[in-house]
Amino acid sequence: MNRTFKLLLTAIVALLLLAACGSDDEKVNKEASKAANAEVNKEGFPIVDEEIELTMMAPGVGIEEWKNMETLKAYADMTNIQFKYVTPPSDDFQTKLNLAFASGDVGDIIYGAGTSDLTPAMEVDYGQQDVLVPLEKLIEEHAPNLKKLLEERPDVKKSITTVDGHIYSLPVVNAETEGTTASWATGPLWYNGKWLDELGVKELPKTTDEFYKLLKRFKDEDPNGNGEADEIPLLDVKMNSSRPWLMAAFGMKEWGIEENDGQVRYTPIEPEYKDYLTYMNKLYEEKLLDPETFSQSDEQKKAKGEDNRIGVFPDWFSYFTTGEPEEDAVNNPMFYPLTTDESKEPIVPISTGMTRGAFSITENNPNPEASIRWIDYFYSEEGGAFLNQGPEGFLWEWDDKEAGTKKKNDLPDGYDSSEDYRATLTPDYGIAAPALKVETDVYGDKTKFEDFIASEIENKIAPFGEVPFPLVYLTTDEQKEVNTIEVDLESYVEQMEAKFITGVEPLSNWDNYVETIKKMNIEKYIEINQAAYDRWAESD
Amino acid sequence: MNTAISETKTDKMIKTFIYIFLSLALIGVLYPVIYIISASISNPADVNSGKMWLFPKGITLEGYKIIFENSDIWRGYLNTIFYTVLGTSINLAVTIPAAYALSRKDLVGRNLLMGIFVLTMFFSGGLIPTYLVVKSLGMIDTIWALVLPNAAAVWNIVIARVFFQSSVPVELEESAKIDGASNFKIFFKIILPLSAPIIAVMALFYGVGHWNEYFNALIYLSDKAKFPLQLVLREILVLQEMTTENTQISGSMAEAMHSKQQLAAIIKYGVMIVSTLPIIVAYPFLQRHFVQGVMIGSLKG
Amino acid sequence: MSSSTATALSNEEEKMDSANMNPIPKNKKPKRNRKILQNWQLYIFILPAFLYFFIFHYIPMYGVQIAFKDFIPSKGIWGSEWVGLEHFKRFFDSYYFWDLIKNTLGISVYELVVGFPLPIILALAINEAKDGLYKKTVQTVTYAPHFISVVVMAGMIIAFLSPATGIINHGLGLLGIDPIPFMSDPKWFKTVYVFSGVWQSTGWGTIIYLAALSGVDPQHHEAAIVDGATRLQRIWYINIPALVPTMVILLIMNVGNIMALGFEKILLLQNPLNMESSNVIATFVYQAGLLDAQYSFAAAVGLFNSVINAILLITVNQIAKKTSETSLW
Repeated sequence: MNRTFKLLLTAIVALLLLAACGSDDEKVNKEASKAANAEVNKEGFPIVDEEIELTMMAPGVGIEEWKNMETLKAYADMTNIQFKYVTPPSDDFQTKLNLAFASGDVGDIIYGAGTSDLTPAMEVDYGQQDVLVPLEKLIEEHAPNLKKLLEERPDVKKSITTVDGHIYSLPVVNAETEGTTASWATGPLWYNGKWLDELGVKELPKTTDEFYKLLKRFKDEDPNGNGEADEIPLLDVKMNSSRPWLMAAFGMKEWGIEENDGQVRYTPIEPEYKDYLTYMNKLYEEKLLDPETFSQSDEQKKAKGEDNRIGVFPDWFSYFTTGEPEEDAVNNPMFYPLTTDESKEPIVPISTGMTRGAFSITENNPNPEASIRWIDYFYSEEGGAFLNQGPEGFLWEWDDKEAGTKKKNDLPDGYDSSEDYRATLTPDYGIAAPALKVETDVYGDKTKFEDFIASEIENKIAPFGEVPFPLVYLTTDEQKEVNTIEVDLESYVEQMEAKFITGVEPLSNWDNYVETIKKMNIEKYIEINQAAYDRWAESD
Repeated sequence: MNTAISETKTDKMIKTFIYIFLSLALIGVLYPVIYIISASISNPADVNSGKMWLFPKGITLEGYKIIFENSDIWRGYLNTIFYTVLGTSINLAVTIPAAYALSRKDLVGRNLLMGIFVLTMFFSGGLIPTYLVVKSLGMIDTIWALVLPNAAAVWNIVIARVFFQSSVPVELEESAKIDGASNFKIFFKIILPLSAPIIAVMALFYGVGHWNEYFNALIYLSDKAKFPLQLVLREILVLQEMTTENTQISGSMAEAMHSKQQLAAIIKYGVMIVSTLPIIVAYPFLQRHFVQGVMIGSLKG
Repeated sequence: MSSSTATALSNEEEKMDSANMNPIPKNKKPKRNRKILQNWQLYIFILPAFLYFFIFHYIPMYGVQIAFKDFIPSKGIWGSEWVGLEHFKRFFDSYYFWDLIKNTLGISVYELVVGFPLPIILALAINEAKDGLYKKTVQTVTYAPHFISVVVMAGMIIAFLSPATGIINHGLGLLGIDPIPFMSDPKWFKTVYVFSGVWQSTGWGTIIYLAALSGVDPQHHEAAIVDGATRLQRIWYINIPALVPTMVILLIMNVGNIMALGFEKILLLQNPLNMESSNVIATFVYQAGLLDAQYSFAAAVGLFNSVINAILLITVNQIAKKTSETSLW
């Protein structure tokens, strides 16, 4: 018995020591493995002659294990670089990533995290501590495609270079934003086409007044023809998806910080915002805006859509809400940007066309050169298409290899759509997969729906699109201050928007509202963002 | 003062009242339970629009078909059963003896030990240091990471201790001691046989905890073959909770979310039934042990 | 052999004593030492639990310091920069601080007042029912909702309470009451939260009481029946006293958990219109953490909660010690 006890005590002591020494051990390992930097071929494939294996951390969407994905298998054969994939569910990726950083086994590459998991603040923090490797030199020497891309697109370079001049992560870049869904900052608003036909509406509203009148007609004239006044002219789940479109009618691009001609402002304290609230309050009072807007769930919204009870609604594509087949969705026109007497020019807030935090190399990585060459291919048009559509023989095959034309293969059994099948072939599905996003649907005839979307974007978004605020980096101190201000600010503004719209808080309290926000240190908040914008604008 | 007749009258009234109360509780709870069962075989659109409110509408077994065809779910099921059995056994082996010892008034330092245990309810080093301890013990990606870092719960130790204090007659211990029985003997020969109700309760509390557990699995496991049921389900439904507030959303994400949402709508309720049925069915079996009062009486007599 | 182990164990006891209390000179307490020796086997019983708490709770406890630091995972806990009370100050200075405290306490106390007695009443009622299918059914069915996941639960609450399509408002309509916007009126939030919780966990809560009732010696009841006691009297004088120790302990523990309100369900039921009564400490920390993994801030708020909870627990425990025989220590 005595011996057992002593043994236990020894075990505990040993444990404590182990816990204390753990970090040192790892450092030694790291040094040892770093020495094993493989010989990297300057260009072409394979990247390394002698096969190497790296570990990759990436968010998984839970459809197919990465080691079984054909695209990654084919690319591993091409490059001679094998990977061990660690892919926690994307919802929990941030937790796992932080644990990995804390315990020192973060893997060699962080792939597809995106800004919500590998935040700009984390890039700055970890970059400064050398946990993330600066990439600009590696790009210069080993990544011709990226180098070319950054030269052609100075806006991309500006947005991925941190305050200290280093690049710590690569973005997802859309080759062409204009005219594609990549330009959407959020899903658009859609009109119920059946109702428009029923009421004989030929021309979509172009001003807030016309919009109001149409919603009124939706409400009063029984467009779904069931004899009941159960029509909901406009709806959303909270205001998040429809707000950008409606605020834009009053001349604002963002519910928060935006920039106009170099001047940064915080829109929720501007007079235009009061006009927006007044207008929305009117819609709410007259039951043109769904009374359940602030309390319903996404499922309830969809159920109303499938019941043909809604007139104007937000979603990525209208058929997601209405439940119609895709080809019928061409009858639901996209919202045309509205104007008011004060804001006569239509505006549509659009996306910056890139997502940061998509690819980083960590200090653990023994082969940074090989790693940057590995990712570089995806920043070419050919590589971007390869990543998205997979190797030949699955989704597609060559129709005429000489001419470079492809044709689509038939879907294997058990898949409902080519997207479902694609999700099993490539990681570029549902995550921020680092690449140059190119037009991938090049198999000849487009569907009616694709043509419809393209023409809607052409007519209703492209001519009026503006980016509200560029992607910037803050310094550590600025970030701290912004975090402190934002927590209170965001929930206050969100609450008050709902209260003003529903009339719980009368608009006569507007001045108090602005006053309260000023007390939350809004001046400082704007100042920090102005400084960040100025740095961005001046950088080359 | 009461006559025999009026006694039975009040007794009857009370009895009726009790049955009415129980029936009300039953109906109040039964409705949502039936709702979930009906929803699991109804068309999701009818459920969400409020058209399905009691009996199934637009009956479809699509959800169950998807669940039963998914091999990951079955593997997760087996893993969960294994973790639950192993984990609960460890829990009981740690909790019951400790709770018994702490219930003994003649144990020097029991308040101090209790204090040491209770303190951990309030102050914890947090996720990262705990992770580092588990890592330094070499338990990452092993089953031990699922059963050892939660080998005991203060709450349950306290409850078991109260049971021993209030339900085990001190005289039993005293007389055994006078007979010269050691503490081991008292515990195994006298206490354990009397402890069926508390062992059943502890097994249930811990077992349910292991059954629903996903967080430790998420943190400590990366080998999918070891994933418990709840983590498998989480992976299947993961994008469902992603909101539109996530700003950088792309076309492929939107479509991925949409197809996940549709899948989730179909299997959401079925998954809940399939994943909790075993543990609900287990309850009546454990309940039997709650009728142990007889034994205490017989032993005493 | 046994005596040497006992010495080792008593040394262990001493060590713990000296680490946590004033050291007690050995020779002054001969009786105490004898007691320890006598009961060495009991310490073996506690050893696994002790080791567990030591390894998995006390060794990691150095992590508490991140509440006073600017924790950056890659720098490690020891390596992160010390910032003192900054995170606490930030929390106290928050515009919503008093709202958060008010709402957290409001919901918790409401929950305690409504949720604590119900399982006891239900357990007493179930105990009175005749053994058989009906009793089993009641028990199993009331226990089942415990297993409904929070996400589905929240979805059901929102659906049932919808002013337009919800079953509850339909029912109220039949009684001639206008639909109540349960989810968007801040006045209703606490009630919705508490009663849905009651619905979900009352049956589960009866388990422990039913187990305690099974410890009641049937001879007491038999004797009472012979003496002519009514059913109500027997419940009052035999069953309830048997539950008192469990009740007291659960009450102490629940009070010690008052600040530790979980965030998931609240977050799922929260919307901008009811936020003034649904904004609680846990959801606030969650939202703060979303902006950027703010471990230190979350740890500081957590520590603040823990300190208050610990104070409450110790106070209630002292009261319980004075007024009843049951207490945690």
